[in-house]
Amino acid sequence: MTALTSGAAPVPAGEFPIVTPEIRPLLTAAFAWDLPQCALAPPPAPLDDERWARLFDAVHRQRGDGVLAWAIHDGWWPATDRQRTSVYGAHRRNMALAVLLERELVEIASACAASHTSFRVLKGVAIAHLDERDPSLRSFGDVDLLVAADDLETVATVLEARGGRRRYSEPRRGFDRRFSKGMSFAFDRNCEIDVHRSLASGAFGLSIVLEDLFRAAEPFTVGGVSLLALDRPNRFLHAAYHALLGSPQVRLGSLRDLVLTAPRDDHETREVLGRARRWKGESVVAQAVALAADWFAWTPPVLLGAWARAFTPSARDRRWLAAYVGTDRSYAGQMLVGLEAVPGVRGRVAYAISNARSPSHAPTVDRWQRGVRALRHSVRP
Amino acid sequence: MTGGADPSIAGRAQSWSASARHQRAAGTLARFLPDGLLLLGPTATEPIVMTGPAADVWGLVGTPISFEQVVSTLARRYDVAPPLVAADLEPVWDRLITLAAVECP
Repeated sequence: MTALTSGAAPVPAGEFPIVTPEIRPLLTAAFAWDLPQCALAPPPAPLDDERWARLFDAVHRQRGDGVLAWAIHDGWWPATDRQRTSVYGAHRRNMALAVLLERELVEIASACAASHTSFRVLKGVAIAHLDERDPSLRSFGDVDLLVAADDLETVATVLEARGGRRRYSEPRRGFDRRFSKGMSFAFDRNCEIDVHRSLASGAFGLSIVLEDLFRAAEPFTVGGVSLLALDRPNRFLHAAYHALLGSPQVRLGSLRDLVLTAPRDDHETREVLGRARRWKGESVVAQAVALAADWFAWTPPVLLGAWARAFTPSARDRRWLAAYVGTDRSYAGQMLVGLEAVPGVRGRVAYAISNARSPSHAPTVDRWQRGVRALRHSVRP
Repeated sequence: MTGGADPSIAGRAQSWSASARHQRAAGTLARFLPDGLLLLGPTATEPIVMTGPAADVWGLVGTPISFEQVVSTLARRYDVAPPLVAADLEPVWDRLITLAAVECP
């Protein structure tokens, strides 16, 4: 898989986004622009129309228009006028969506405060404001909030009062509070809010020590409103979890987040690794670090890199990872290994019964209608 | 516009004073673009894109600053005569005030 991986038994590798071998180095180079300790080079000259079309499509699907737009503007990535115009246009539309989502976020923050509840801002919005050199480098298509299990119902009420419709119903009363990764709310105004109880589904999510997520926070401001994000070690861990476990193909944007939030010194590395150990997530971190090192030609901080090289996944690690990563990935598999992370026989029985009722995916007509709504409300700045 | 110290940028029929300091309004959401600035004013429902010197101006109004000071700063930065800068900036400044994207501190 990667130069950083060691250990006798193979573990499933994260899959690269579906692109041709010719486009792959171009895609990683585009995402690695402006990252510290990354050594990928851009193409020497503007791409021909055919290769450009395939790269642009891949960059766009991975929400990397902002990075590519600024790489072109900076003179690092060579582009024709037409290529520049197309990326700038896509970036503009992404940023229009970003500010509209941020408007929604600050209003939700105000409504939650009025309901005496709070949240941590996750992923895109937080990374944009805290970790990227400028927020315009980070695109996002939804708002992700982490909410304490006890506050889930209150936040759901706030979102429903604002017109949010829950996309998947709770399979069994109490499931969300106890077992779920979270819930998702769709709005008519081309907006989606994901409310997280944990950072992943199944075994890896159930093993996260949720108190660790709320112990420390990092403040930032959006539109004059003060918000809280996870602290940097947790942002790094979340990026690792999301990059590796979040979808069949590794998200390059999440790997970029991982590099941006990597520990700044040995103390921070030890803190990160201590939490990963408590969360039974060391294999996730080791593999995500290895992928970023391999795909972005990234040199991780010395202690982190040495640890990742030396890490040997256990039988449990391999079993759990197989449910999320590689050809055997399946939601059912994730729920199945999740049983191993639920304490007590009664807890496991409740978890198993709840999952038997859990919808595997939204009905096709629901997805179609959401797409139509999104088109109707598409932003034209 | 009234009260400007520089005669080249004073005396135009504007509702704002060239010497009054402004800063980004708290509720404004913005993004720099490679070719401009994207803004969602505090009461706006759709973002707008401003090109030209808008990004330079937005960079400067992070702290309270007057139109005169913006003109003078950008004239030095780009080595251009202040009246030329003022002519280009006036519609931008006017738009920011109209959108309530900037406010007096």
